[in-house]
Amino acid sequence: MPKLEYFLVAESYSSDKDVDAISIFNVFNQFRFKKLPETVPKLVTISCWLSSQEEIAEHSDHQVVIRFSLPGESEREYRGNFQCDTKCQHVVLELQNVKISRSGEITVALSIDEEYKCSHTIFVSVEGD
Amino acid sequence: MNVLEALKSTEFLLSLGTSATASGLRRCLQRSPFVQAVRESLLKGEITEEGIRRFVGCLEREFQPGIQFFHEPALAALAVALEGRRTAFAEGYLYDLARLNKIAEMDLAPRVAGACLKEWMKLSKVVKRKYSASDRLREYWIGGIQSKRPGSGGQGKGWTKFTFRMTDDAET
Repeated sequence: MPKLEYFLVAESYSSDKDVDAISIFNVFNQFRFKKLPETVPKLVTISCWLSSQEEIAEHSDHQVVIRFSLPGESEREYRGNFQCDTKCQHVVLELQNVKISRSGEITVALSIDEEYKCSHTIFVSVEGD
Repeated sequence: MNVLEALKSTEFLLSLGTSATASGLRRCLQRSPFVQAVRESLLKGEITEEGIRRFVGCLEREFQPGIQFFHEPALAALAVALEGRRTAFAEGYLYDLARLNKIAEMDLAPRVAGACLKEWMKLSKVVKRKYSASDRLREYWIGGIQSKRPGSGGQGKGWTKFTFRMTDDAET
C-alpha cells in the first residue's frame, strides 16, 4: 500500500508540470461567516502518496475514500481510484458547492483501501458568536 | 472574420477602453457587440464549444511565462459569452480560468471569470438538480467519468483528479 506523505484541504491548488511541483493555496483551518447557511464554491482535498518500486512495476490500483462530515449532517462519502505509476502520486478530490448550514467542525477523513489514514478539521463559526 | 478571430482584433481591444477593474471590464464586455456576436453564433450553431476549445488552445500557444498574456481580453470575453450557458464546458471554462487568479501573466481575466462563475452558479441554482450527492457520485463512478486530464494544468502521470458537486439535499 502506498505511504501517505501528506493530506490537506485547501481552496485551490496549482501544479507546474514542467518541474512537477504543486502550490496549494489557502489551506482551510477555519471558516468564519457573517451568516449561515453559506456555500463554499470549491474546496480541494489533496493527498500525496509514495509508492514502492514493486507497486509502480505492478501498476497497483488503490481506492481513496474521503468522508466528509458537515456540522449537523450525515456523513458523505467520495471515492476515487488511482494507480501507482510514479514514485509520488497526487490524488486531488475537488468538491464544489459545499453548503454549510451550522457552525461546528467539518471533518474530512481520508482512507485508502478502506483503511483510515488521517483527517483534516475545519472549524466553522459565525461572526459575533 | 470569424466571431472568435474577431476577439484577437485591434478593433475589439480598442472597444474595451481602459477598464481597470474586473467588474468594469465585465460590464464593458456584457455590452460588447463582439461578445454578443459570440453568444449569438453559439446559439445559432455557427460555432461550437469544441470550436471555442480549439480557439483557446491556439491562444494558449502564445502564452509566454513572465510576459503579460496578450490575449487575456479574448479569454475574458469568452467567459462573459459563456456565463449564460448551463453546459459542462461553460462551467469547466469558467472554473479553469477563474483559478488562474494567482498567475502574474493575467490580471483581470481570471477575476472576470470568477464573477461570471458566481452568476453561472446562481443560474444553476434556478434549475432544481435531479440528483443527490450520492447519485452524482454514482454518475461519476459507475459512469466512469473520471476527470483525469493528462497534460492539462499539470494533470498527467502522477496526478489523479476527481470532481464532485456536493448539492444540498433540500434542493434535489
